[in-house]
Amino acid sequence: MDLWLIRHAVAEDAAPDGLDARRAVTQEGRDRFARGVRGLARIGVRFELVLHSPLLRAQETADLLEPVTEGEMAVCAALARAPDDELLAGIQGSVVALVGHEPWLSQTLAWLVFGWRVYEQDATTAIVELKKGAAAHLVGEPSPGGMRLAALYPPAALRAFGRR
Amino acid sequence: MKQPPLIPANTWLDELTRQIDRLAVAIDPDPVHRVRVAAGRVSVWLELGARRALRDDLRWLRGSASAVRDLDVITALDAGSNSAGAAWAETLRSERAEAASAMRVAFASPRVAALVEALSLVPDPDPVCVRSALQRLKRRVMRAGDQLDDPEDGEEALHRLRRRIRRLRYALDWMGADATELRGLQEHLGDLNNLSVELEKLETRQADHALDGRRKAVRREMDGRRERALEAWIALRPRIGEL
Repeated sequence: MDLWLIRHAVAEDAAPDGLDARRAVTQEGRDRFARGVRGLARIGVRFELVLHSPLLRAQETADLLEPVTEGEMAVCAALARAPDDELLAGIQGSVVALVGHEPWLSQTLAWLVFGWRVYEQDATTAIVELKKGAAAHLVGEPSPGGMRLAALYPPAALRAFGRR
Repeated sequence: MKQPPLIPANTWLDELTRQIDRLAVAIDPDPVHRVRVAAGRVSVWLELGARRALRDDLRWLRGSASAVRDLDVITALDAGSNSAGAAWAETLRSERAEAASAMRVAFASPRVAALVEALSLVPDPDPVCVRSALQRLKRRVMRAGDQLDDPEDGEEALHRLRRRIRRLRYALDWMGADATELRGLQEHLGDLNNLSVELEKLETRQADHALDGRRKAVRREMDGRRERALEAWIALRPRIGEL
């Protein structure tokens, strides 16, 4: 399986009602991420399944992935918390994207690649930091320690692919 | 052109949540039907806002209730006709119990709670998106209508038109616009679809000759409904652009 961990695009600092879950992707974040999506398209990425967290900025980021989505999009509450078995159970298909948040995405990466959960010691720990709009490409079986990190794409790299 | 404001989103979001809560208690025909309607209306609301995320979840939710809904429709049609017999009624009851079990599992999944939470976070559609979505929905209705002329499409073309008319009507309802003109056609197409669902189920029991009479009656009824639906479409077609 090819699994892509994608951090949401740049969002506003605060929602009008102050609720973190309702923070929307900014216009600039939208434009920049869309250019990154062109980069994903250019390197031949096509998702069979896009799982995204319920938070608005993740929903809106998933929307922006539509040009590279050939299958279903599905909301997944487990992407809005520390990674657990429920998240792994939802990962099905051969090319899947998880659109979520830090520090949980990088914790997911650590769990899938190394097999241990860094956050059990410290909930804020991350062994890599995914910038907003960045993507990590993992290959293997979506089980603890079952994947290897094939590539880590900062957002600027994805945008650069899109310009080529 | 100034766009009228949409009716409040919670009108249908609350209805969706209410029906999901009712279904957690019992898989009764009324909440099964109403959850599907609410999910369809909310999906159109997302489309008016040019949002793709959550629409697949709503489609999945509707789909999870469709087997039970189909059996409820067939049971109601058969009850009205009283011509299919007790054995067939028992078959339908047993299949419904099985479909209701599968539906209960789907509705108890974390995806449903996540969907409700996610929907509560979505802002109202942007008026510019609403205008272009409405035009797109009208164009899709027109294209579906044009495809009725293709003999190869047959019944599928009518089902496509029914789905697109329904979405256009929901969009107009969200905008508080008058969708009365669509209702007649939607009803004919809906009745035709219900009969078609029943016929499909009856045809899985070709060897059961006790059902021959009902099969024949359903086919005859479908011919009448098809004719009425086509007449209604021909009358409505020139008016779609003005809705």
